Amino acid sequence: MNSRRYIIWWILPAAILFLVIILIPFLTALTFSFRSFSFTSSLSTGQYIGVDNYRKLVFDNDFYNSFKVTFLYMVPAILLQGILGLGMALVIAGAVRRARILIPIMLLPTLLTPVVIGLIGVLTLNPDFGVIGQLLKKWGWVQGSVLGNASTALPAIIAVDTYQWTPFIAVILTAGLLALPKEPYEAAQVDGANPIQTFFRVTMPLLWPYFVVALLIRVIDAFRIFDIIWVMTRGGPGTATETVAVYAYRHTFRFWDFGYGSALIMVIFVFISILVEYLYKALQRWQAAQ
Amino acid sequence: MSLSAQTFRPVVSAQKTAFLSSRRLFTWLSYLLTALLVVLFLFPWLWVFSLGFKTRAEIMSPNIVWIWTPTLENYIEVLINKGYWRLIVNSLVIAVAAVALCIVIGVPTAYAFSRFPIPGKESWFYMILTFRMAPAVVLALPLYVLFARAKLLGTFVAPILAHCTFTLPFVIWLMRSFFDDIPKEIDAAAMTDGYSRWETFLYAILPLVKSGIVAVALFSIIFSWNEFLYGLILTSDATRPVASQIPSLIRPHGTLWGEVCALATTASLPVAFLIFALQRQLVRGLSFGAIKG
Amino acid sequence: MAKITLMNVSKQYKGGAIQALKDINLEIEDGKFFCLLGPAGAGKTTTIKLIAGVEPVDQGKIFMDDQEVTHLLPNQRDVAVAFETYALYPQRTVRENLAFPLRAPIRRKEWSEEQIQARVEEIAKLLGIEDLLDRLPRQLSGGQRQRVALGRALVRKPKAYLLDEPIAHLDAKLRHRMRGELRRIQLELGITTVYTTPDQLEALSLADQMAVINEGKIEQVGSPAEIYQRPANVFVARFVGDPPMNIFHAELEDATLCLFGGKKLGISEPLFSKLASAAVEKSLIIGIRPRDIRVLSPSSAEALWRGQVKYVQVLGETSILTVSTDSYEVRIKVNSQEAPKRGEAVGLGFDVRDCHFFDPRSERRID
Repeated sequence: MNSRRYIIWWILPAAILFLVIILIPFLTALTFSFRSFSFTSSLSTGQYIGVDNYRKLVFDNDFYNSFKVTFLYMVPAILLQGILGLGMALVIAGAVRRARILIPIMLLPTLLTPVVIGLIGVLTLNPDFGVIGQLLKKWGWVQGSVLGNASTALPAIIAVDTYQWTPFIAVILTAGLLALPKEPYEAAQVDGANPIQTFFRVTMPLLWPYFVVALLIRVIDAFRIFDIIWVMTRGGPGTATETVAVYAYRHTFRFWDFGYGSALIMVIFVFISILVEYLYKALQRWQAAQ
Repeated sequence: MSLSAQTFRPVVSAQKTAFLSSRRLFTWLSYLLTALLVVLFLFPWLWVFSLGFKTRAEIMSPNIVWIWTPTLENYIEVLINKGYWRLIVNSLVIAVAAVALCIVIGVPTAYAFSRFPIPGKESWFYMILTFRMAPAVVLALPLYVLFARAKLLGTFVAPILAHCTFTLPFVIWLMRSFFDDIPKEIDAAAMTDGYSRWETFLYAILPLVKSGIVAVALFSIIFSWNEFLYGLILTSDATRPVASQIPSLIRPHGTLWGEVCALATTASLPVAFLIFALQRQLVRGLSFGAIKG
Repeated sequence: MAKITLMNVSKQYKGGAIQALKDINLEIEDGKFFCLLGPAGAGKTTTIKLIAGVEPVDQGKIFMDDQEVTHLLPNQRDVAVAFETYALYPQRTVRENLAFPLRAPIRRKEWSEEQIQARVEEIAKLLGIEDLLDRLPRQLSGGQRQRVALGRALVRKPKAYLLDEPIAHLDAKLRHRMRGELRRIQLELGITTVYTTPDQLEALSLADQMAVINEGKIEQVGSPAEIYQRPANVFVARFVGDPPMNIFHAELEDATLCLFGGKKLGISEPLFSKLASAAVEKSLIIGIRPRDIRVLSPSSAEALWRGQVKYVQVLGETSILTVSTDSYEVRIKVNSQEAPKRGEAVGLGFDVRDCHFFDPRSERRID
């Protein structure tokens, strides 16, 4: 259809918004990354210093650590949320069919903001008056504070994040389960498949697209994780829970080192764009294979 | 022949009833497990809710206080004396405005991405997803500078536009997959029926993705409602959303737990109400076609 | 009402990997019922989509009357389409689906709400779906949906109807009735109609003019009688007519035609010289329609071939015989009363005037 010259009007508003709030700020940050801002001077005195910020970055061990921490959080958290979310969806789908109100109820943890969820985590894990913290101490699983210990802080954050987002995945998968067609099940019954075979050969393949979307939403958000960690540990103890976002925040807004912060941002961005392209291509290949 | 038929028949029916009863057992078991899960996921929320009605001493008690006289002190202090009820209104203004803006301009864009031969379409898509995935801090600093120059810091415009940075890509991404699931013949039919491209979009296609839009909008509102960083650094006290203000209740001499809990539970109610009101659309929207990546 | 002209139209899919239409030239006269006949995948639907403008033309031009419409949008062409895939609006009732074209913003002034309702009822009655008006498409059977799709096209009076296999999924009886209704409506309104079908009988019985299309190419254009009586090539000869034409190879030998089985058929001098100039190494393709073959006794002197009846398929008044001879299976249409029994030995004969001759290389008709 030869509306080719009108296509622009469909995307122009979004393109302008995208340009103003995303591209221009991004390019601004790019110029910042080649300049120097000291703690005491005001914004406008940024000196052009070439790639010094990037050079500094290369030798910063905390920077590498932050990527490691991000993945140490992301991979187990998403696996856990995917598996638990699937299990939860399989359990509740039958009941949701009869009482749809279960959906808003289940989503309540997701609706408490991550900041609050994080604070609840702090409260319940407190070894002196928190429900779980006290138990962990009594059973001798953790010495002292869960969040103050480098080996338990990150698992605690993963647990809290999982608590918040598992219902979200479960709700998407439940919607998927409720929408599955009946015919393949009747066919499976005629073929005499047992429930386990039916699950793996009929339910899972049909549910896959929902599973992929739910996980993709989580993967995309997982890289952004900031608030829960900031509230629970501020990246500590040491740098044990310092994800990329926390690290960048610390340098940009705590130390007001805009130049270094911007260089960080650029590197993070390049990294994510590679990750996205890889994920997206893998997904498309997988869809094509179906 | 007749003998074997007679002996055979009861066996079949016995198997059938056994199968049915085991299925019924299974159903009840799943209801029981559901109830357990509901308790598991509702309990902390209820617990936080209950803490809002407790005094500081009761909250910090090493043994959980099960029976106490509820106090409204925390609610009165945080919502009225501190005036934080306004923050909930701020959150509402920011989330609704950002999501409305992104739906209005993102949905036609998603349709264009689904239907038109846009040069470099897939590359644009990577870019949109990349920005959606980048931590807020990536854009927070330049946006801060930009809004400072435009003298928009402290107005609602700043957080609303900032929230569009993650809402717009999300809307375009998910809505495109909804549109991709609608056969192009529907567009063709409407256009031969005498509708222009835009009218086809409005009258023939939009009604089909209504539930999808509701689902995407609800998710976007949840993300916007929960957003923390932009709300913190791009706003003044007058425009700050509630999520960003909660850490201010963490004081050097100790967190004001009662007030945190009172504020948090109150703040989760508007969105909970929204989801409750739109649950039917939400479930249908999520299951419409098969949403895919 | 309009004349529709396609000039050198080509269309590719998947970046040129699939050539859907190759250099199509068609002239569809104003007010005529035009059938596009071809097997599945021949390019019928693509042709409809290009005329409707829902897909862009790669090469060539399309005209309606004398106006070029190649680059016009579908809504600027004023055609009504019944899609093969129905393309009903799933969330609208049958009534709303039928009213949808009348409610288009460009027609807001033409149609009042009462007129729309009246027109919808009228069309629904015509198609026998008046009891389904308040149902949703998903609550209908395939045949019912197809009638709604057809109704959505017929509800308007456009410059042209483009009907893509519009009654293919109806049951046989209803299909027969709908054929008559469609022809009656078209004659009444005199609106140019392009109608695609894979069913040669349907095309022959409906069309004023028709084209046979195969693998994206037009094989022949003409009236049904022309196409049946003078098929332009072997494909058309086989595709039109039921059961299909019997096709054999034959050799030219001294003023005679040497058939398989060694029998020679004397032919006239003018015919011989015409065939001789077209034949390749004296070889030809001969076609003969099943009803043009006579069943004789095996000992008859007129019998060109002898064989045994393999199957007898009774179609009521007529029957189809399959006779196996030495090299070929021959199909013959006979009156049922005169049909031999299965296994019977028979002789077969035909008249050279009933033969169709084709060039063995190009498979084109030799006239």
